[in-house]
Amino acid sequence: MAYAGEAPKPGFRLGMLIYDTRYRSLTIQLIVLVLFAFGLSWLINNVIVNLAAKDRTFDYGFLWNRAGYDINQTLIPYTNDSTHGRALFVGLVNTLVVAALGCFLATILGVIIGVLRLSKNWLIGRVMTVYVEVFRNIPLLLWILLSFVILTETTPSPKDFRVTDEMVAAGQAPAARMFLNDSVAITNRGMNVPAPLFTRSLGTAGIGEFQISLNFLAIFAVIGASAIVNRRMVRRARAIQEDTGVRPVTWWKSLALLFVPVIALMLALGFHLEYPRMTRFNFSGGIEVLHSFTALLVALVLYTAAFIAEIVRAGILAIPRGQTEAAFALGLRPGRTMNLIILPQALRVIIPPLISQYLNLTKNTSLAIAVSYMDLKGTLGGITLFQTGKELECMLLMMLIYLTISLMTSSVLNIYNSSVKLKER
Amino acid sequence: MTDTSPVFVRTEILPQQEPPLAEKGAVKWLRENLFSGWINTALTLAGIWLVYVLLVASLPWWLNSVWDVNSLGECRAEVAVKAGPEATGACWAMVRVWWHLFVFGFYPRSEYWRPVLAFALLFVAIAPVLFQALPRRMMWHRLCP
Repeated sequence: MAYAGEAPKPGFRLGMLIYDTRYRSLTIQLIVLVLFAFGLSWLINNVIVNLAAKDRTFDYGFLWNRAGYDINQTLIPYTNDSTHGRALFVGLVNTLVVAALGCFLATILGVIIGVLRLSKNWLIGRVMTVYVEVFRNIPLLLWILLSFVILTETTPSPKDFRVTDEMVAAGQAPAARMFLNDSVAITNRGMNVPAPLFTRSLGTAGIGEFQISLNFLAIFAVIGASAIVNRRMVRRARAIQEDTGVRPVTWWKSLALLFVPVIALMLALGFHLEYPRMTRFNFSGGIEVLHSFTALLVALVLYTAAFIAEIVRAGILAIPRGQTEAAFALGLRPGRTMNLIILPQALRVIIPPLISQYLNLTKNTSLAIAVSYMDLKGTLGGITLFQTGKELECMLLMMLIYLTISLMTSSVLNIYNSSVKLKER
Repeated sequence: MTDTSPVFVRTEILPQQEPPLAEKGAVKWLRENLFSGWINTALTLAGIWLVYVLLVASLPWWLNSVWDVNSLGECRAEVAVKAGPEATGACWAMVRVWWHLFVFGFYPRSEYWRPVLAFALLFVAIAPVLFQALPRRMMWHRLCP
């Protein structure tokens, strides 16, 4: 009778760290971790030693010093007497505005182009293919520069709008005209549009230097509330329709709910527009939207829309043809098939890559420096950096802010993604 | 007894007729791909208008382009001679004059053969990777056999 030999002793030898597959991966990971920590500490030590050698410190005290430079476009009050910290916030708000508007418009344009590229119309399909290939294969910087050059070179200078007494006497018209009933003027500096004003203003509220206009807050609150009430009303109408088969008339209720409260609030606040007027050399009054902003926005939207169009097309093509055929068999028309059958399913494929396009667009706004739009890179990473010489602090803070924006965007959109994705039980 | 013989019997098969004009050739293709409904017709017209506007705006610039002069001023003079004083034209002469800068940067002109040689050797070097089936004698430069 044969017995199996005695089991090998469970003793541990040092060689097992490399030759035993149970320990080998752990050993390798440990070595890599130690090397990485050494590398990191060497880098940090290097920074500390070099900062000390140059007799410099690492602190963010400069953010409370006087900035001393002007910013050509500010959405929150700012003068050159404000602090570097406030300049940072001006830049941050500028970045966020162009990023949010860009994402919104690029999504609309991208979905339209993506759907049109799949159209059965031969000509439209080709035109959209050319659009996508042209815009996504040329660097964004060139598009920003091109749209800036077009906007500034083809528009009249402010003096072309001036009407002098001699011109009135001679019956001459000025070389350039304003649009939309003399309310919008496009010059080679920017777009002068009417500014909203309130005669019975609610004032502002906030902490210290950070004030927010209560007027706009109230208007947004009223719009949100009426949208919620309207949605509840429509849901009730649908419930009645499902119960009885008869849908109550809702369109005038919807219109009234959505518009009457807002208009009443605006009348109560004394809402009126201040039109831009030509003075001696330039327009005054109203809001001047600089071409640097418009050029950046246009280029970002056109460029990102090309990518979003491809994402939308991929999403639609990912839905099996049988779904369309089944919808047609049920008697749905093409438009309703698209809206009710294809797009809701395609959304699951579209949203994850769409999130990364939003992040791309947000980070690409830092190219604004090319047309001197003062975004975060222009204020904190530009003039503040050069004036204070605090490269390390500015760069680290800027990286941290962009990282925060991106992480917040992606986490919000991931929540939305998990709400539309296929529920598998 | 009834007369079962038909009055008329066709003895030969009719030749095939041409399909209707709307169901063949270019007309059929146009109707199916460009004008299949009022939405498609509107889209097609919008597309034609767009392409027309783009071509009208850019074609003269392409057609009036100038290659064989040496400066921007001469370019403008050449365009003015070719197409009138108001016309615009591309000045590709700039590309012809500066192409060596695009390709070689500020590398000394007399030493251009060096980057060119390196570029050619690049293809020699990647040949073994791309073409496994080449005769071994052509692979003398391969490091590991």
